[in-house]
Amino acid sequence: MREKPTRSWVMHVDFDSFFASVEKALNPKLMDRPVIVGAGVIASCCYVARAHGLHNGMPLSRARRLCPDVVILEGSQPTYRAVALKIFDLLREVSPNVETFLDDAYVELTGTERLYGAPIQIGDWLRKRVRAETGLPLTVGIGSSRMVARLAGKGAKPDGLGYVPPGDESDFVGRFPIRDLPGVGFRYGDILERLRIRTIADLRNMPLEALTDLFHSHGEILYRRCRGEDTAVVEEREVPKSISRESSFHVNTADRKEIDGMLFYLSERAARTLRQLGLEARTVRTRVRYGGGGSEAMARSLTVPTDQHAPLFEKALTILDRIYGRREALHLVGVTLSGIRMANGRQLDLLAQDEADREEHLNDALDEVRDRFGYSAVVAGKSLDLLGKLEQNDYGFVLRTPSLTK
Amino acid sequence: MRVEPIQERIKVRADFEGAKVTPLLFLRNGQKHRVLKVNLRWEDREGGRKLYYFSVSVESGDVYQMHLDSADLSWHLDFVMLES
Repeated sequence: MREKPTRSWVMHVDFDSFFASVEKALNPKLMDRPVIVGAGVIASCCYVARAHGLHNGMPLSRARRLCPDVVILEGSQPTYRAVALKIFDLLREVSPNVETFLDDAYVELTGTERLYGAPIQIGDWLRKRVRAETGLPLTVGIGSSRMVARLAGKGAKPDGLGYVPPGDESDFVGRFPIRDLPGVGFRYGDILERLRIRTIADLRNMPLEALTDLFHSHGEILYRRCRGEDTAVVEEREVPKSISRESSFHVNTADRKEIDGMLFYLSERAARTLRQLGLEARTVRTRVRYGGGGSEAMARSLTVPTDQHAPLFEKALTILDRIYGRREALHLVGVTLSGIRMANGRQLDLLAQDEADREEHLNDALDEVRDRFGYSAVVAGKSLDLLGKLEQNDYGFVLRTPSLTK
Repeated sequence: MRVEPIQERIKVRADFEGAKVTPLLFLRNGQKHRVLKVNLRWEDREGGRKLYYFSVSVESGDVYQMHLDSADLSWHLDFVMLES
């Protein structure tokens, strides 16, 4: 007997204004108040605060002017991480195939209907279960692919459930603004809008040849996606445009040991993320913000892309030496890796190969120890200068304002 | 709203029904604080130790964070959230 083909289902789960929502769950007195989490700028903004014109990335000084009653909390990254893990465990009750990020996740639901019912029932159950266990709102999007599921959720935010029936993908996706199409970033969005392409449906009027002329192989991907077809989304998602790690200091500092130690630690974390994702980066950007205001940044490229910490840190430090010119304490330091691609091959300089092999083996060993015993099991190199200055937990040093990968 | 650190070891009466632990009442500075509601509970690790965290609202209306250390079953009061 021929089996019916299994329909594909993906669920996208998004934690609405996550940090601010956790703070409200921790303290019910905050429920109806405008709450933001951040230090310097808003990292997370609840919907009550958004109604006053506040948004993520806004300086706190401006937030206070727009909304004098706003409750500003510095927040606790370890708490947010633990709560996110709790929710991810709930997702794994319905499917073993869960891909998690900082505050969202994709759940593969294909083939689960027989056990748990229709995908829309699973989404509804999950929202109620998360609310019961944590008090947190969740937006769920369900569709035949990751892209459609994500857009389905986007249309249902906040605290909603979006569902796109099979066959409706093209019509549904077409309604969204062009910048919502995965693969259309700032630059491509500007180009397309100048061509008066404002919605995803508008893009369907462009012939394939025109898109490939403009965007080369990426043009074909956009051609298919604007028609609701999922294309290599997993690989796209796994190659971020950049990986950033930055943090402000608990107390502004001009101590070079502390600054270099923080830069070492942040670049080490960023390099580890590259290795975890099977990527390498070519360009390093170092940024500083001074305690008295103002910031400096500079980017430089390596000769050969790498996922190894030493060359990335060396470049970051060289840049820091060039840009940190004022005799003034720093409020923040950060590193951004870009020019990212899938890792392939090693450098061709045979004389340097032995050194590169040793470095690679050392990093592999460090990764393995940290995977087993927690990141803080090993504190290496200039990060040692952070001991005693920063608290540690299993995930590493507890930073004042850890940033998110873009 | 501000957070006032406490970081004291305290005595707690708790319910251990099933696999779940729920604080009911704690003693601090000779005063009993009855827990009206556990707002949120979560777990974290420090090395081999598992820590069970609770955010609780008490009778007075204050909100505290506390945790149970699985290594020695001691309870700790982390901080209280106060209106500025």
